[in-house]
Amino acid sequence: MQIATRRIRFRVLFGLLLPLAGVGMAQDGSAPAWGGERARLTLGLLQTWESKATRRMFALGPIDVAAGDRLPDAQLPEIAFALEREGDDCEGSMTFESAETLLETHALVWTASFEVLSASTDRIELRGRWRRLGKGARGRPEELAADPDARLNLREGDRVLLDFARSPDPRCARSFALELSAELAEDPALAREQVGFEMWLVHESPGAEKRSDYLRLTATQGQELAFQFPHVRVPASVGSHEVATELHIDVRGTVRGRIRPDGSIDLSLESERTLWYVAPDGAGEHVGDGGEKLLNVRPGEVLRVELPGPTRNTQRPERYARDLAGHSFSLILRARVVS
Amino acid sequence: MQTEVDEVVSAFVDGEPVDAGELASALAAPGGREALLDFMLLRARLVDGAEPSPGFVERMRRRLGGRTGAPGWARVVGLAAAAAVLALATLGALDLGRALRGNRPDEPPEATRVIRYEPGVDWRESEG
Repeated sequence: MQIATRRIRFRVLFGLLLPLAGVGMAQDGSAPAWGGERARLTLGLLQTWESKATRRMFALGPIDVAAGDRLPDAQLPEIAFALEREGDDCEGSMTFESAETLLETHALVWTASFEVLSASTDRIELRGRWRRLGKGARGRPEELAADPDARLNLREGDRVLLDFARSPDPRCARSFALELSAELAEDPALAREQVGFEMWLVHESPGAEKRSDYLRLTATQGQELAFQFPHVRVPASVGSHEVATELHIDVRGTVRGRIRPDGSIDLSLESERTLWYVAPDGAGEHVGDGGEKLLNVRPGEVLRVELPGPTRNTQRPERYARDLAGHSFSLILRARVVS
Repeated sequence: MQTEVDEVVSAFVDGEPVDAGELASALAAPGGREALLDFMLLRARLVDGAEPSPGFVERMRRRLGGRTGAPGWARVVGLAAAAAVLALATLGALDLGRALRGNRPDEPPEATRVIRYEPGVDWRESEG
């Protein structure tokens, strides 16, 4: 395998990449005025060796693309990743040549192109196309797989495996895959800002005092932070065939804040809840649910986000409903600009 | 000149110390005796009826239950007003204390916007 690793040879047509190097820069080399939110996209080819980890072989990006623009760009409609065995070597290329031309010399070719429809905090909408071409049974070039109208709704940091194929030659790798990843580019004027979060999990139950747990977090602009509250313990009633248990409610999730030029804060709050029936010996059953909210708030505004009642999507929904009757859970969230 | 005469005579009628020579001169001056008479009549009118007659006092005492101190209704109103002022002051002090202290950090503040995860819309349930 080491021999194969040494033999493989990659080639990137840097001359053709030069136009892309200018993306995000004005003609005089200075940073352009921030003209709205932009997706930061990367199209790459993944390679997996036999018994080895998957790694990125080529990548076009990350490149900032405004809504209405495409990756590559208007002058270079598609990026192509091509693979071929050449003598004892395996050759891989990332190029802007046409697939048909590449197929004259390469066994496997991917082409891809994506347009940004919209880009905002944790909501990146893309539309694009990709094709995988190779040599058919008679050695003729043909389209092996394609999605001419791929629609993607992504959160920041998401990665999408668009297509997967076994290597045309095991000496090149075991398999290859076409991948797209998306983030949100930061406004340079706000990239160093910090957002402070205060969060409370409020539990109200019949005949008991309202209880709350408190968390305090600080993140840089656009950074996603994880949070987790301590277990909330509720006594579980015991049915005729049930072991004495305690019901634990775990609430955790992620929060992301992005200060906008007008001073307001875009918030992305992803919450997860797990309901655990825990027996004295530690055994138990559990069920989880969760959701996501995308909001725009004023700094210091206090939000109350109510969690729904217990899940019904379980084999014994009546047990959860019985033990959580009258209980309510909500998240209180306050975001500030850290000065 | 008349003003000085009036002042001396007025002071004399009010019982203030007056120089005898000045009083004699004032009374000897034109209009001095008339001024003395006017002031005496005026004082008599002011004094006359300034205090209720003994009969009026007796009737009011009977009407008010024979009390000789402050009337009962006035005392009740006064006590109620004092209690209200005390209560308001106490509430104000508590509110001021709360405002100065603020909420404890681990106490959730009052929400200004309430939203809810909606199952099937932005809340998903996993299989249990």
